[in-house]
Amino acid sequence: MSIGVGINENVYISAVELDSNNYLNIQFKQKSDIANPFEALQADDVIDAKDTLDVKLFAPTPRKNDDGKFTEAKLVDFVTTDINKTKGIIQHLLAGYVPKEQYAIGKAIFDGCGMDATNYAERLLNKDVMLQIHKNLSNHLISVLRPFIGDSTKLFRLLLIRTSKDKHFATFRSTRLEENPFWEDMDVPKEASKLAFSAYEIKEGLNDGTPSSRTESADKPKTEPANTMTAASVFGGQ
Amino acid sequence: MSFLSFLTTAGVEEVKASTKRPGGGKAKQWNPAATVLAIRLWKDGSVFPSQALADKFDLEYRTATVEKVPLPLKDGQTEEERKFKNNYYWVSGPGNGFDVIDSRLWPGYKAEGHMLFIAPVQKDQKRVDLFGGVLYDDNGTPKNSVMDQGSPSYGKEVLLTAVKELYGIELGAEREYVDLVVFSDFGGIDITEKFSAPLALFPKRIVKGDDKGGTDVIRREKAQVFGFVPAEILNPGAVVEDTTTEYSAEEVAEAASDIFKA
Repeated sequence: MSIGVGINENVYISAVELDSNNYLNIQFKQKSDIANPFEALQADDVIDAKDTLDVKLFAPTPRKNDDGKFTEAKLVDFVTTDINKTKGIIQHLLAGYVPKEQYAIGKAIFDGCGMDATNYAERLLNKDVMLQIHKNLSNHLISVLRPFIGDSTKLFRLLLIRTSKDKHFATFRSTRLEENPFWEDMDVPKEASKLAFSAYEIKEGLNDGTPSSRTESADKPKTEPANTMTAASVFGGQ
Repeated sequence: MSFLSFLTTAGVEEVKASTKRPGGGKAKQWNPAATVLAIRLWKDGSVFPSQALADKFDLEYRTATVEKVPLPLKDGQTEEERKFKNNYYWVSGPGNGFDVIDSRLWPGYKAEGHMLFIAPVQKDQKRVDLFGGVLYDDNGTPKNSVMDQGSPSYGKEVLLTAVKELYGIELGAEREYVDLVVFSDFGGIDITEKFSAPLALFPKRIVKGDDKGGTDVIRREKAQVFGFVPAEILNPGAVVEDTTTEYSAEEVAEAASDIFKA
């Protein structure tokens, strides 16, 4: 039993961290009747001990525009779209646990960005501001999620898609999440589940987690996380 | 007088022909007695709230502010022929309707017995079962009061069957209606506290399309859940003509304990 591209059942969030590379790592774990590796090795069948999966969310990066191909408005649009995708994913995850008044980040998304209505476009295209927004979103997820991290009594059904045709890593879909959610409470009867691959995802092969011929190492982050920020390190406990 | 004091007198007052359904028809008392918290379900599926219920849960349709949004012109259509779509806004909110929850279909429901529950929900939310919408005129005035609208669709498609299956009450020629009481406290059980949660998944019957007859769920936040049970089950001695007998909360609890084993 392992988590990957497809619809995964009996899943919960077992860890969340913003690592030293500013990757937001969300770790999912699948609840199993087998309690631990000790039991797994004694089981009649060979049980894949890898029952967790980290899904990463990245900070937006500035578009290259050396030739001046894009207007400032277009560049702002690109960044806004990227941020909205991350915000949508984070709020969608949190909506599984808390009401909107708790999962909505509101104005806190711009904390520490020195941003107001008059300098919005200029500031948004600043790389440091993009990173700060990503940190704000990440910390919002970590802080709201903290009481629920590792809670294996509240289980979810989780749909993960392939990152792209070239990259087989499992990730979240990021648009129209209200109509096309990527996770839902396991209390939703299977026959009433709203989780399904879209026609587009199937056409593009995003429902297939088979590794491509390209080497995996090309897709992996170049550096390993060093110091990590976890809910426990930020808030204590755990 | 507490909100729950109605439980001791839950029942149905004698039918007196006093009002007339809008649009004509046989004069009937379409609504339950004004002071009980109840909904009257008729044999054709139409539903009518009591005045107390409409007041307590803010069910009445409010005058809306209307914004006329021009629709794109179609080929050959002139400016004079342009059509408009009305968008409606409510300064102080749209008011509430109800979700009806059949415990047999409710994900996560854990109890030995089954019954109906009800939960107020803002009218502008998706898939509100009862009192969710009304037609408006061009000035934003509702064409009906919630007291006399009597929409039959949900009752016909879902509620009549549920009341028959869960409570054994079949409406027809011999019996035209049943009053379903909305209550929270029952024999020491705080139903609202026991069954409400910050997040809820309520079951919804699918009433059209390929999946008609199946069950769907909808996510609700901070829903306050109430019991939704025929008056005669809550108050077993009550009959249609009886307006005087009162029952203690203990008598009510004892008589209907078989449906509350949660």
